[in-house]
Amino acid sequence: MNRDSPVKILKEEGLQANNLFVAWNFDAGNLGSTVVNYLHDRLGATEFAEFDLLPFFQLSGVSVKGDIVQFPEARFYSCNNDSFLTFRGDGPDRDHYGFLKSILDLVEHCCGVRQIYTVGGIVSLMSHVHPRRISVVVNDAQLKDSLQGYNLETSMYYQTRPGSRPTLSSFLAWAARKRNIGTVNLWVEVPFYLSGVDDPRAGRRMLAFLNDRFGLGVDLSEVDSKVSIQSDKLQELRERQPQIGEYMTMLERGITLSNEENDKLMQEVAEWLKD
Amino acid sequence: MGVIFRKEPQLENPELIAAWPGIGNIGLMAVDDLKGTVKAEYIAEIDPVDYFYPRSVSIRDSQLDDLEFPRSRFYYKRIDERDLLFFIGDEQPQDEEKILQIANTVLDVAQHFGCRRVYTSGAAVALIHHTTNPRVWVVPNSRQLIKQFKWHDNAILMSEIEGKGGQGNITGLNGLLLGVARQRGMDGICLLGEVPIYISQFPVPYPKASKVILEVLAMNLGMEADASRLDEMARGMDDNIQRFFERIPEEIRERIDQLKQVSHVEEQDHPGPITEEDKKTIMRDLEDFFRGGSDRIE
Repeated sequence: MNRDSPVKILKEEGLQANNLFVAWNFDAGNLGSTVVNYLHDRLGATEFAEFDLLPFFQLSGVSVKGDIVQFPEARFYSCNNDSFLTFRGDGPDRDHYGFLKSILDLVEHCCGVRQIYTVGGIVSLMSHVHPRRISVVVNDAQLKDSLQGYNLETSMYYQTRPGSRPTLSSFLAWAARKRNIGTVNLWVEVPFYLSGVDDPRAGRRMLAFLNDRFGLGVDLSEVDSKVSIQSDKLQELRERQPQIGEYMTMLERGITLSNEENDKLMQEVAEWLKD
Repeated sequence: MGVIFRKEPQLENPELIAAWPGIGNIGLMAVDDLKGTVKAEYIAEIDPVDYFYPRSVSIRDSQLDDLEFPRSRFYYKRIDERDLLFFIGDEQPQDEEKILQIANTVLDVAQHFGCRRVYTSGAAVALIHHTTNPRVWVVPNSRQLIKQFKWHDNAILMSEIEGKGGQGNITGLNGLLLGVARQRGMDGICLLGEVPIYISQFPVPYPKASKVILEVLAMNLGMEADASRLDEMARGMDDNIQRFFERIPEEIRERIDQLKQVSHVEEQDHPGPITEEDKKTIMRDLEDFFRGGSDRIE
């Protein structure tokens, strides 16, 4: 890395790994950061590099979300497992390509990373009792073949709709392809009414895939426990509020709710799970 | 330079006509119309990735196909002995540093082809009524250009507009490009077509202003302007505006109709009957009207 790089390296040793896991903060169900934090907690993690925020973020003040002051972060970690490194961060406010180039420069030239896996949640109109599916987007056809056998959705078709824009993960995959770095965007379904809170079941699905794919051997009992607790809480909610229970039942049967019903369900679930 | 050349024709002192989206796409529509009329040929594109976030992604069978970015393209056409270079941008970059960078890149390409004069165009939000013929405010980047300019009947300097005193701001690349051109010793002229203030608040085109820009531009480029397409659009737009106008409350309509009394001749010598306070009242009334019932407008 040259001296002008916006990424500051904090630690020089133990940075070699074939894979990088990328998690953007504030995706559906906080999926990406939940998964990466879980890996950090189980495997141990050390921050080895961080972004200079000024070129990429508006820092004239701070935002407040869920009553809490927010501040952007963009950090790289090495774990006690030499198969992967992690990046956890906010999407930049400006110079997105410069930001992505800086990630790629670091992991390509200093860490020898050959494959990138972005980990994110995607909002779905599904019920929370249904199994979470993981959809995959690759930037190289050969990668798709290597992902067979993990029960992934590998036949996705998508075109950005008017008024929307591509995800940063798609932009990263596109930029990585220019450098022959294979990239897999992993999107796990998050029921829409859990998109603003945690969805441990979606996190568990993603962690189980990463365990299988990379032989991480991460103990999932704690996330299993969170799945069980949330499941019990949602069961209690449907018993206490028959109307909400009815909406959940309709979703389980594949019936689409009206916008008002969706809003009501989201609001009640968020309120119920907030503690 | 971050530019992908498809073709590098030998041009002789071409004039650059640049346009980006803005209020009502006034300038863009004029330049795009001219470019289409002369059948200008695509020759180069600024690599968008450093300036823009992608607009769309296409994914086929779980494989990333491609990203689509806003385009910033150059076109050229030789007409008689005159070379014209067009630049049309789909978007302006979001942050100041990138805006300055792209302005420099546009002028790098222009100078690469030997260009010494640049035209930009956009909207001048004005206290005029929609039944008034809009004028073009001509803003050169040096004093000697005032004499060199071919003055169309509907073209004026900012100093001729009541209350302006020759002062104002041109936001975004329409202005910045001329500033950077001046820094490089290049001639630059911005043509701003008047748009009624109450129309400028809505995301609709105003082809009457685009048409007059086209006429002023063509006159200065020594060309015949074919404004038939813009004329037709203007007629359709006039009908739409009139229909909208008939549906707003009478008291707001009356206030807007006061703008009819602001004639261009009067404006130069005497203050018109519309004051700043009137202007605020008109806009406040319109805002209240829309906030109170946007479903009333089709």
